[in-house]
Amino acid sequence: MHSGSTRPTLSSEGIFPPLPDPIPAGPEDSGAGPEGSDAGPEGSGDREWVIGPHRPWPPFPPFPPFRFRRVRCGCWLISYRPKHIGPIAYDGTLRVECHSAGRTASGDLYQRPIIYIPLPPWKPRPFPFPPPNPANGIPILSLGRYRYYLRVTQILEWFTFGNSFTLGFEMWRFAAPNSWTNEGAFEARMTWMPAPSGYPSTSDYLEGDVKNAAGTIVGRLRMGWLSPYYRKASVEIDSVAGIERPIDNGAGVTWQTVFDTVGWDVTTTLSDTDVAEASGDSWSDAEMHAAMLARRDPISLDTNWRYHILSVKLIDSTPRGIMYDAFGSDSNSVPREGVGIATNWVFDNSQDWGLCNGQRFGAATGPFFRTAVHELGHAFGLFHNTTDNFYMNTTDVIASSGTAANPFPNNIGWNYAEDDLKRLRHYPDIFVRPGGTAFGTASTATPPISPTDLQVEVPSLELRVGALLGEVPIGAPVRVTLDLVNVGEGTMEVPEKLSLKTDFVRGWVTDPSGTVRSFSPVVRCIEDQPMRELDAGEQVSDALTLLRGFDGALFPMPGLHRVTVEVRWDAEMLEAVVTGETTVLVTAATDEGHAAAAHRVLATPDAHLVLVLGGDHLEEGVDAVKVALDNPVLRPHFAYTEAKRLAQRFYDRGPKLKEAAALIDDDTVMSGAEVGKLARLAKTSGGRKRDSKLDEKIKAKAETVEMNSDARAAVDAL
Amino acid sequence: MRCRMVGVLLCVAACSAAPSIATEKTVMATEASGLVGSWRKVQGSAGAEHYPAFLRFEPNGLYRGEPEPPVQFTKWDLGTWRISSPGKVSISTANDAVIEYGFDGSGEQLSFIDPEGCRFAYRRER
Repeated sequence: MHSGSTRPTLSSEGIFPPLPDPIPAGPEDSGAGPEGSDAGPEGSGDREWVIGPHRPWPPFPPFPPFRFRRVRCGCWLISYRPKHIGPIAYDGTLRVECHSAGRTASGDLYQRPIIYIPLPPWKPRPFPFPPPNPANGIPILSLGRYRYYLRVTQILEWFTFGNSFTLGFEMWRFAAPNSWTNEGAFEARMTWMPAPSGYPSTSDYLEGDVKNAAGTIVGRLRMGWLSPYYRKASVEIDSVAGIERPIDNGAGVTWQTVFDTVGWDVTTTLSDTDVAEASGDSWSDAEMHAAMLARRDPISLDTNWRYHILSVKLIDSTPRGIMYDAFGSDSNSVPREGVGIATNWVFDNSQDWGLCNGQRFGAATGPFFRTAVHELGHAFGLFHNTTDNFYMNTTDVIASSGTAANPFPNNIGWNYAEDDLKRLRHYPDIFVRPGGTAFGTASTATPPISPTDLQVEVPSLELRVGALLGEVPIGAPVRVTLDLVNVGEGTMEVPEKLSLKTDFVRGWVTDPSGTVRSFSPVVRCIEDQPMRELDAGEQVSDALTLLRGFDGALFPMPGLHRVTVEVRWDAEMLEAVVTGETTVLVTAATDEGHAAAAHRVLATPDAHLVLVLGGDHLEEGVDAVKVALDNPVLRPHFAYTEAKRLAQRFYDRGPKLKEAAALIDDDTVMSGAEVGKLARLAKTSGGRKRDSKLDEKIKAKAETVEMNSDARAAVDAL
Repeated sequence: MRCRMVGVLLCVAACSAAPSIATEKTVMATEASGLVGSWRKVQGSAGAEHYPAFLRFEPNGLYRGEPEPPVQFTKWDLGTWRISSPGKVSISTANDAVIEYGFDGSGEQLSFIDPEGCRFAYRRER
């Protein structure tokens, strides 16, 4: 084993964008960012050369008087507009770090939101939102729109007399939960030009065309300097009444100095001091997580990198501190939001704690503050690091390395190790920011589907999803109704039908354990997918009957399930998407007979096909449905399925309308769409031999359910 | 008389318990000494990939874990260990949570079971 080892995050796919290497510089550059002589707010002036410890002499006065240009250290606002992809654009930041080994630079890009704007009498057109306002400083962009990490491989190293330089970078595409694809190497010849309004420096602005490896122009990149800091965040500290909060180390190291060294612009807020004690003598991870959610100032992680510190007396799962928002303790599946730290643990006799032996942790100001910084490091995505005795080493290891001449806590190193500093400056945003990727590993919970770049939301359309029955017994199919409503003011082009026989509809079911199972069309009709014009206030309605998806039974256990339906269609060069959801409570088996019937249905894949297609040939599925019909709990939910099968002719078998009618009674569960389908079958299959009993029952059912116009017309035609 | 009798009974009970406590402590001390050393992971069920490929328990109650490949995340990277009860070891993990694991060590082989039921085993490394 080797010492001082640390491990960057490896994605579940095994590929992780490598952090950028330092780009070798010539003679030392100027302006080393927050650590250098133009650090912090004082250093935001527009100087081009600074005399410092490595630069004792100014350069020889140039003759004739040329202008030196350099890429300023700190954070740049970048915008990238690919060519030939309509209104798609990306915004983000480029971080340029200057140090003795040269320059290291990296960046991130987020997709800019798109909005559909109705322009009567023409069809609605997509437009990108405006870019971030540089006057607002380092932008914080929405988590769900994170798309690329830019690994910079070439940048102006020192200075130039000219007006441009080549920026070389790799674009690493991110896909949740944590996979990366290197989309290739690109170059942009960046040229200085006057900055648009809002930038703090008019002379630190460039634009250039981006070329791919083949030399083809693929887009345009803009960059304008914003800040000497690399990133922006906030830390909120809440505590139980009457105990210490981690404020500083008692010897000049404060949150400000910690983050100035890192190069982050961090606002620290000492907030509530009256957090109610948890049950019992100490706090569980879940209690700390709940207290964080309840007491944290109302913020959105899409607009604020907010980290939370909760100071309590004792913690169940650890003696001193914990980043509880990881693994199973992350109850809201938003990782790395908060940490907990305990004041009342005592440096016991488990080992030699140097000068702290017997001391209460909260009273040991230095180690107490160090632990808070350490746990925040985990919230930033950092792992343990045994390099020297810096922040990401553990208290136990640091104490054990104390000597008589340099006992703990005097041997604490008040800094992050160099490789951790590099991570804090150049890790992808999504690794570092709260709510990004999970600590240490890809999330094991399936995430909500993130929008792709070509997907646009359509605010003037609402998809209202309802459950025909809010409670269904286990083994029964779940029927959901869909209403796609135009809540805007203009006419929208939408799919004519919303059934699972079209390519427009798909979705997923989240079971009580958080497992997600998707469903999509079983049968795709090969004719064109028809569209229609939907006026303001109008709606398209349909229904789905769900039993099984790609991953098996969609409702395999009792409990509350969430059903999410997505309708998408081509809209010019983009893809319009509307989403809606509802919940259904699946109740447990009432007796052995019900359990056995449910088991048979759920374990027979063809039962689902019988539900969708009918037909006598799916013998296992037909038999499973018959078992369900024999069970009084499941019969009402499968009666329509069997009636539909019998009402259709199948090869030599003619339609059995009398038997179909016998299955339908007051308890039969049917959606309005299913009533309409049965009405059409009764009319077409029966011909002149219609069964009046079936017609009567269909009409009676039509009085009890909501139906769309097509279904109503089919019933009226009986 | 009754008080004296109760006192005698309590003393008898305590004396009977003392050897059990001593035995338990002896078992735990033996188990602790058996853990000390270097170990290489040899097998594991699904989920065991998050435990280190190499493990070293130090006599001072500290441990280090190394994943393979080195860039991989591991739940046991650096921290403390102690025998919390016979057959149970409490280990501080990558996010500083201290978690109790079942273990069974005999000489050259060491096997663990985590709270989620994942099993994995190590062989002593010389």
